[in-house]
Amino acid sequence: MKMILDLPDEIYVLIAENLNTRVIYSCVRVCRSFYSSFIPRLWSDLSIKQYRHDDAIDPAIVRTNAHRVESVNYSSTLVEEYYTIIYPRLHTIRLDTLRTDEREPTYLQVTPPQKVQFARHHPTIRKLTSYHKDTLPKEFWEVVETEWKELESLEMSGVVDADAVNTFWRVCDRLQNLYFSDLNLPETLPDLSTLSFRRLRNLKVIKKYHWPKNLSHQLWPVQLLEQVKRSDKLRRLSWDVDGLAFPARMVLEALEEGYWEELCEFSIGDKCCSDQNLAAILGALTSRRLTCFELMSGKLGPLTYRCLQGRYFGHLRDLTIARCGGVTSAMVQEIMVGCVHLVGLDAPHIFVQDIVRATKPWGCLRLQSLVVYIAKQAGDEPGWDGQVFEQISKLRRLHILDVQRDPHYSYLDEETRPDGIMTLETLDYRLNRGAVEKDIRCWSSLVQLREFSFDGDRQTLGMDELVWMAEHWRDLWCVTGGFRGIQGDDNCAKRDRIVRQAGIWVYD
Amino acid sequence: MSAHSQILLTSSEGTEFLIDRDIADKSMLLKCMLEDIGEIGQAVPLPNVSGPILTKVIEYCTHHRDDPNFLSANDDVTADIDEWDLEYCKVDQGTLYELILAANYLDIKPLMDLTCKTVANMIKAKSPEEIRKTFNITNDFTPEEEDQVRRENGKDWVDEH
Repeated sequence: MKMILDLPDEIYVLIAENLNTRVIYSCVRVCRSFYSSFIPRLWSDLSIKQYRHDDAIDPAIVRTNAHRVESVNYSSTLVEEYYTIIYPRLHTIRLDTLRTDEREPTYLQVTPPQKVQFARHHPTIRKLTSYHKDTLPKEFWEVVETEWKELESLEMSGVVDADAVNTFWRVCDRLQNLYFSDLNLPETLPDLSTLSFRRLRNLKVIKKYHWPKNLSHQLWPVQLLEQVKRSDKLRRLSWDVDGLAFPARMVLEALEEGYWEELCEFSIGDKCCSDQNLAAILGALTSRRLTCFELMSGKLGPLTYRCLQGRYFGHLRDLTIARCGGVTSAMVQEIMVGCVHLVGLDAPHIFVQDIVRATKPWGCLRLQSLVVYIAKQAGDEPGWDGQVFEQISKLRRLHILDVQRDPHYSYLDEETRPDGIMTLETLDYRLNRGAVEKDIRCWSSLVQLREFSFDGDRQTLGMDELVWMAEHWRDLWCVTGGFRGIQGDDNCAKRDRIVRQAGIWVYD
Repeated sequence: MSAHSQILLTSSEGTEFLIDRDIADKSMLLKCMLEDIGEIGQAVPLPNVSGPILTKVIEYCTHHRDDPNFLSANDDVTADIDEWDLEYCKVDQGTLYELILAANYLDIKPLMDLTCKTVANMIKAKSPEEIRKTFNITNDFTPEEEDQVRRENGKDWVDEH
């Protein structure tokens, strides 16, 4: 009989893709054969943080394994020694800052020359993400320009110094992906006229904080957009710039002139753009395709919605409209019926009544991620719950199902809060509500479910439900929501045992 | 090429299996081979696959016969996994590994994904000792080596996920 140890290494790679680091650390300790099969995976993606109360991985140990590392995430609290390690296969580096980093004694101890030296040692990097609060020096950008020949993506926040800005833009000019989040540029207007951004596929500009108002040089995002007009590979445009109007007229003209023929993904904070302008822009897309649409704030207006419905329901793969107002339950129902290619939907709410009374069933059977609150109203009839359970059970590809009331904690202001939604009840997720009625057991068909989130504060789920989920959703690794029915030391110990054996994390 | 043509396969023991062409096409190996050399009218030998395993593989391909997303140029679109698939994977470990090897050899990606996921779920959330028990593996590390593995990867990865 064949043993697991008879499998070749390439199969272990596939198995390991389904396991998290914690389990892979168990695997390498099983036996020599498992060690050699799983060890590359344990180190390929490395994240190091350093805090007073929690030691980081010893740099000497990292050095021993450096040849296995392909991607690193360095927090802003790491000391110099980590920057002397050379990773020969590194392709991704993320310089991260967590909220509490500033309080650490080792915060931003690494000097700019040390970062430059680190950059020089890693010419294989393809993706750089920088959220450290110190400014990268001119020399750093010079190394990137001359030595990082394979760089494709830059994601950054922070300041670019005046003496570095021209080098910085020359670096950007040859990249495929540019993500600027709260980026501050020097006062002199950038000279972009010689740049073409020929390879650019994704452009994302976000300004939410630290935005010095009324400074003319902070108009650079508009200049940049004007300059990337000739990037004929541009596929995705994301724009959420607080306090700066989206240059709708310029974009519309560009589209009317036939530029951006690949553009089919659009993400925007609506406060930058009126309903009329947004609808006009979407309607004028040169590609005549829209596969991804996100409205990150403001309101989904009727013109924009009608444009989406009229032209793009058949294309959309990702639709995110949970953080904006103006979205009705009827719209969400229409979306779920009409968007047959939808893979991800993030919407505020849908009424049980709209699902039950609909004349057509949902067409979005490819959905992998669904975030929506399912709201019951006073006049709902008994038995409707069951019909909704059944409708959702058809979404067999779901990996993520989030049916919390306020998944993004976004309904803080009246403007975006859907009418009365916060007070409405939702589906009853308890088992044993009588043998006749359909309940959560319908969802045994959701065999690929990995994450499930629900509101645990208005209904009491207990051990039965937890056991049922662990038994039926074999890929489940994360449940968010309270199991209030589980009380007392014995039961909590039992819960912990079930959760551990099934490999699930439960968050309340 | 007729839509109803049939292909003859021979398992490692020499047993012959007559299957419809569209079932054979679920295997990239067979599909490419048949496209390259055409249907030669002779049995295709599969020396790496035993009769019982080939029966099981054909059962899988037949169940997913009309699944439009079974094979797609687009890598992020995968075949639907349903309750039938979960039942299908309830086999002894030896059979499961033979299935993985057969799926790998015949190049049937959805079956690879399904069977590898099944193994991953047997490993999920287990300690090294529990993994050894599940798969009947002997710990061949010396105590010194065990110590070294712990030291060289010496971080509690518990918080990482």
